[in-house]
Amino acid sequence: MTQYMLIAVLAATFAWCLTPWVRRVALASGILDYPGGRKVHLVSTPRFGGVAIYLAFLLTALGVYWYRELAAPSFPFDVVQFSGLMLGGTGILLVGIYDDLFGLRAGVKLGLEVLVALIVAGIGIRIETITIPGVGLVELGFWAIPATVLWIVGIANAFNLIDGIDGLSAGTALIASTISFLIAIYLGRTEVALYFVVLAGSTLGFLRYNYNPAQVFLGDSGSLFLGYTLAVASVLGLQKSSTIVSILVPVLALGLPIADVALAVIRRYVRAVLGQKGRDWVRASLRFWVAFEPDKEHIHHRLLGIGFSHRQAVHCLYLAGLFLGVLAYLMTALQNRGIAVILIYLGIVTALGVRKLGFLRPVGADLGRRTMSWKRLPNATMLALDPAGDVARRLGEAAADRGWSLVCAKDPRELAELAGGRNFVACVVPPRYSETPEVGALRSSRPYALWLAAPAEGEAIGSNGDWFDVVGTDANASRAMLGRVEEVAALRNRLRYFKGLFWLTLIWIPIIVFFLISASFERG
Amino acid sequence: MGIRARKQLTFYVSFTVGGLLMLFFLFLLVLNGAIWGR
Repeated sequence: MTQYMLIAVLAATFAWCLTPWVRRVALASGILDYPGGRKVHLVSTPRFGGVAIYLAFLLTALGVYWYRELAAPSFPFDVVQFSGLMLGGTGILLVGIYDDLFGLRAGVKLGLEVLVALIVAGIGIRIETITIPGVGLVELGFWAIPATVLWIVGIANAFNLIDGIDGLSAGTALIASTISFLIAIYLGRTEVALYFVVLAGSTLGFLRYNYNPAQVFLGDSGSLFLGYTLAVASVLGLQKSSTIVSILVPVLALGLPIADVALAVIRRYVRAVLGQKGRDWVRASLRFWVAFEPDKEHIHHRLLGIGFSHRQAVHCLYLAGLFLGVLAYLMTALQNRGIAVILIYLGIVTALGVRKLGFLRPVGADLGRRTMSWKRLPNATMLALDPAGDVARRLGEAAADRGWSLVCAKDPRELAELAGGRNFVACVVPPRYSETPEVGALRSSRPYALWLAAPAEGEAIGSNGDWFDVVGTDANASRAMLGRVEEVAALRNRLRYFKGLFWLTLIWIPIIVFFLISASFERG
Repeated sequence: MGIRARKQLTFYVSFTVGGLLMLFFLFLLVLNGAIWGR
């Protein structure tokens, strides 16, 4: 075990030293990710980090090889297996590099990935038999090749897809590879454990630069390489252990990216079909490719939409990934006993999570329902219903001081239009408009926004006792009030964050209880 | 040097090195009898 820890440290050191260098190359070559579109970051960031991970992986493996040759001939390192892994790994990295440099059309990229996966399957890295709980051992025969290709391409793309916010893809890969390492050690598959530990180390070293605020992104090169390596290493792990390890173990260990892809495909397809009026849904249901059209509704987008900051969203997803990973480990340790209990529990937790994230909302529901940018972010937006133009006068300067933009509407209908699809921190409404249907509907649809009253001089606030605060009569009073708005916003945000963490921790308890009970049965 | 030329330089360097590495791993596989001669 000490040896493996040292290998991980070595890999992390390599990645830690190489990443700034790769970053410089990317900066000089203009390999940048610019903000805009589906991107949620605010500054252009170099995207070439995969190269650093790849190099760290390769150098560490080389170090292990030398170590075995010179000092410890019994150390498990399978040159053939490793060459196979890296042959495809280099291939997929090159596909990613090309995509990072010049961009590739989705179809071409997918074709190249399939080609790489075919090569890997061709040299003998295949899922030949799988154990399905309740069914038993299944020989795949000819289907081994399509199954392997689907698995490799699927996982590589899943990591590519979740690479949407700082540190998510790399952190998920770190958790998945650590768990897979522990599982491989448990099963005595030391030669496979080596790949996982090297990968975990490289990702850890890289994560220091990729964690929010990110100095460098993984890019396609990185996310494809991470996904590919995890997929192929788990195939290698399954190859001789598939009699004891069910197919669910790697699926759970890589559960988070898989869940995101599955949700994306189902969500887009269902939306496209249900969104049709009359009998057009028959035709719509044949348009299966809608499932691959990009959108801004991945799990991490949802968490940001609920009001989490990048870090908070990433923490929640790390916890969820860790939960799935521990389930995978338990499944191995219990050798598929009690699998039904674990699966039913997992199903319940997933269903609750999907509901909580709002994926079940009806088609066409307002997607930006909850307020974004609660944290002390610049460029938060405030809306104001401002027919007389005096709110802008009172608030404008104070809002500008905070870097918030103030968007004013002349009448309630315009306000509703402006609010559609926009995330805002607070909305300012003169009391005499507070009872209009537009404002009422808007208030009930955005419970997380702060609602401020802006009475004209001498006007009473009236029946609006539940409104948060009153906009001051001059710029100074407004400044003080905005400070309070920000405090309350930050407090509510922290509350929601810890509520999320609380639930994500609570879901562990039944599993721990279950494990303790089954362990005590075994002893008894 | 312009960004465009630098991009192309990065491309050629990484694809040459990557291609050589792939050939090397292929060579290792062949040498160990993983592809032909089992």
